Amino acid sequence: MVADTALKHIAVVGAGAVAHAAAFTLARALKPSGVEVTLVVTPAAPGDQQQVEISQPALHELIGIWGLPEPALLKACDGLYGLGFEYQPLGREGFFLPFGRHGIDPAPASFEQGFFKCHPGAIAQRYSEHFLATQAARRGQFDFPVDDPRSIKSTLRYGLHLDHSRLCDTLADYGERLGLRVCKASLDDVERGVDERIAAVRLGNGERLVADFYIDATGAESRLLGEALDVGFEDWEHWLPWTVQSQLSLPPEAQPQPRARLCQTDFGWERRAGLRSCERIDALGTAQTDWVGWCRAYGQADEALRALRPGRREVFWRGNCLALGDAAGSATPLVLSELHWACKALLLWLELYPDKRLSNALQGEYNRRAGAMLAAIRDFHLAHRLAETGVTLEQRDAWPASLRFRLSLFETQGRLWPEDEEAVPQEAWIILLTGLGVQPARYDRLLDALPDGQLADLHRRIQQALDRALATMPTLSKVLARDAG
Amino acid sequence: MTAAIERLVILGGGTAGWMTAAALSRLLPPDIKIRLVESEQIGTVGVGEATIPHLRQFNTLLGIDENAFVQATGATYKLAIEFNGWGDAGSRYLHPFSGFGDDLNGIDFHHYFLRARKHRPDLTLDDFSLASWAARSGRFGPPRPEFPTGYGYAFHLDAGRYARFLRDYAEARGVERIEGRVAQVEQDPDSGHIRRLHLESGQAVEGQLFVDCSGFRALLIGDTLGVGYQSWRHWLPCNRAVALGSPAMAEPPPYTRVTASGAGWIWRIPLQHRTGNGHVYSSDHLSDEQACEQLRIAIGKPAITEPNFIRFEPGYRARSWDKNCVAVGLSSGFLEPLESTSIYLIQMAILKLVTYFPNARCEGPGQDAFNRWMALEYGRVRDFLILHYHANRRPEAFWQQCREMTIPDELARKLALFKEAAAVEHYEHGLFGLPSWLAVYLGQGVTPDGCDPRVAGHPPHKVAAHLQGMADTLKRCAESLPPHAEAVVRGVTGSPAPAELSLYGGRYGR
Ligand SMILES: Cc1cc2nc3c(=O)[nH]c(=O)nc-3n(C[C@H](O)[C@H](O)[C@H](O)COP(=O)(O)OP(=O)(O)OC[C@H]3O[C@@H](n4cnc5c(N)ncnc54)[C@H](O)[C@@H]3O)c2cc1C
Repeated sequence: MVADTALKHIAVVGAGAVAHAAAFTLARALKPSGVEVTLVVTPAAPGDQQQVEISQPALHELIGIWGLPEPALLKACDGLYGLGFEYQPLGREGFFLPFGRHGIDPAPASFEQGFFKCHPGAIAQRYSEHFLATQAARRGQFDFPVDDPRSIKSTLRYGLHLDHSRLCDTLADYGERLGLRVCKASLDDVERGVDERIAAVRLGNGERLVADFYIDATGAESRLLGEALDVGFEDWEHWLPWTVQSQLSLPPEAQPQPRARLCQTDFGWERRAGLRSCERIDALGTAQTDWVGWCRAYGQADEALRALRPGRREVFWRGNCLALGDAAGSATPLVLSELHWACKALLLWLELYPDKRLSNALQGEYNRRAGAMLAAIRDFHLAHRLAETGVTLEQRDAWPASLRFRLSLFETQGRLWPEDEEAVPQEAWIILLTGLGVQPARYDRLLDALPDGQLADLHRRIQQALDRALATMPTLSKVLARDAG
Repeated sequence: MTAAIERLVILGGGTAGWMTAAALSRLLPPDIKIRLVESEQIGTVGVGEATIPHLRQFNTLLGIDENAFVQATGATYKLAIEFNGWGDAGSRYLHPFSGFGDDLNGIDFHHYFLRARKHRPDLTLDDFSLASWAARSGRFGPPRPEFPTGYGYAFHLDAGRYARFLRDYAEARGVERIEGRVAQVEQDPDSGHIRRLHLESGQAVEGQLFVDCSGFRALLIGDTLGVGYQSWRHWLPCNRAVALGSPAMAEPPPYTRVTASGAGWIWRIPLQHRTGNGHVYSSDHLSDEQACEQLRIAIGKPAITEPNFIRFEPGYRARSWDKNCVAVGLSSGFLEPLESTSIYLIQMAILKLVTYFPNARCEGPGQDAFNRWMALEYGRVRDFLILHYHANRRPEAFWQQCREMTIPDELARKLALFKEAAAVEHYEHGLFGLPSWLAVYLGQGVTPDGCDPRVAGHPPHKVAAHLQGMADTLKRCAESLPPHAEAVVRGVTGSPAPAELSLYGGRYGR
């Protein structure tokens, strides 16, 4: 039975993974409530073809709703399991940013403090080594987390590397079996109704599609929310200068590796992530970057470029239209992808789920919380600019107050300010900041009361526990073979 | 690197002073010399006996054995606060230390509850809280793994004995207590930092960092440093209290009771050896004599102590850390004890002081972080308290005024969200999550226009039948617990329940 005021038809418009994931999620989650979902697949831009998704562990929440067997999904998307990012900044030692947490109780001070004290020159490297994920990734090994808090494997979290276009096809396929209506057509026009609502969308196939609610996943163009409903845009390019993305495909590595790589270049960042059949490289740079030269360096002809538009819409949800992913705003896909941000936002929307009255208060709560989510991602990505030698203190003074405060507190006190909404666990912040050369000026003085050698002992014991776990951990190739069997 | 702090002075030996001394003696490096100045002549505020579950985390941090603590402080256990006469004269609800019901299909439980009530208006939220069932049936035990939900628990304790207990703990760990009354405070002429406390005895107590636990007097943060106090009286109208002790109850209930009066409210806190009672009221609407008389009538038994009259101004200091002085306790602000939050605020101030512990310069981002954090804590508790006053249908002038007052924007936004969409605003830090807001909204008659549309599709009688099953299970679990009085005497056995910084116990998953 369906309540009279309930939404009955939701239309999702877009070309990419965000649109497909949103439509499939809604079709799944809202099927018991009798909601019909239509996915309008608009033609993809040339630069969108070869995108690779390097997902965060949070994607599992969505996959849980999808109810698809993960190995099958992974295989269909040419995918691999990933344990984190290997960083290579320019002119500095590299480090590994693992997913998950270390899970070590304060003894007596919180775990990272011991590295501030004992390894001031190499905090990120030494601290990160105490994560099982770091060590496993270095050896090409992989395993799934276990639920038992006594096991060191309970600290593992993992993400997926997925081919975007295959992910789209897979979700559309499964979706149609579930009753999702998939309609491939261009978006010709958006009709605006009264009260800042969308009345209908007109498609290239002549169809006039009317729904109770519209999801705008049209990317940075934001055709529904931005264009049709006239929602303003706040530009973040002065903070996040990476406005162009290019991508290439290379032959796969000899053995599949459960990690992505993030290398700083003279123009921005280059990301590499393995799939089963190839390795994908993409780069984030600017309009001034020599993209032809970049492709040639890999022996390839230049590929279509993708424009990125860092910034955010004033609101993400207005009336009967919700923008997801780049259509709502973008902090660039440097580490946390567009899909990641879209998924978190969609889950929030499903938590607050409206009826046809489209409560203003509900919109307000969504916009408040989703705004904090995007700001948290922005701050994390922006912090990567600490790797640039050219970033001056004056430039930093113009950074968002939230990030400036975080940095100053970390530099002076070695503490991270906890926000209500965080993009990544504290551990990730600690590794990133120290890896990029931010040195806390102090460590927890409680450590001074410890007898000599106690910290080193603790670190040695952890290392031994890690070694034991690694001794029996399979390689990623074995895990993939087992998945197939 | 600036030099480290070596000498720390705490002014005041009330709950705040001794909690600070005990915690710092445990959580700071042992080479820091801690001294505490207090004056028996001045004494303490003498109230503050109901707590929330976070105090267990404090005990754990200090390595305090829970049973020993309960015996030493004459404590009883606490699972909830009972609100009588809030909303309207007949309303009665519990604010338990637990969540309500189970979420179903990823949708919050309360939407199902609202739906079921269309068929069963007699259902109350309390039917879906294990802590509430136990509280109502006078039973207590820590949560068990086989129970379908977890819950938190706290204590009612004797403030005087608690301070004594912590004093023993702190002194055993090297804290030096100095008896005497501060006559004059010496500041550095250039920086304005506090250098020495000069006592009436002529003794001077020198320090690099001062923790002001001098209570409402705020001798250091207020009188000496002149940090301003922001009053919230326009939202929280009560500014007086009178406290009276009465004999111990034969069957002390495992909850605090707060009953609305014509111009304020009356508390009852059951201890092992006596019962604490008090009346919090507005001096604009009630004289001290009237307030005391009403309290005596409410107690219904002869008091065993003289009335303790207390004046206060609700509000806080935006900079409770200024220069080399950190205010902890009543000197940093006051929010009335309706939700037993003051000792919690002391605990958080101590934890944050340890986290952001300064070097000898005392100022910088750590200080900002401390002040920001305390502002967040005070602000979030404040809004929750204002809701109790605002959401009422009582006839008295005092209550009418509360109903009609302009409330803070943040609270207005939260209320609109609940009324329009039955949704509770979410925030991660500071006090009061979804279950607490829900308890007060629904307990005081703030009724939403509907519920989640995915639940609105289910027939109410079916939802009600399902929910009844849930309630029955919780009731059975509660009935398997021992009587509260027995638990108090025998203490809690078995492996201790997790002591987290959470109101609702370890297994409330939000
Ligand atoms: C009516 C009422 C009810 C309350 N109920 C609760 C409750 O249920 N739960 C809860 O958590 N909190 C409650 N509180 C709050 C709680 O009582 C306080 O937070 C707690 O007692 C801490 O007080 P304090 O230590 O800051 O101040 P005080 O107890 O006032 O201590 C001040 C100390 O400073 C010393 N001092 C002051 N001036 C000088 C000087 N010149 N020289 C030397 N020493 C000096 C005094 O001797 C004393 O030792 C309540 C408060 C009130 C007013």
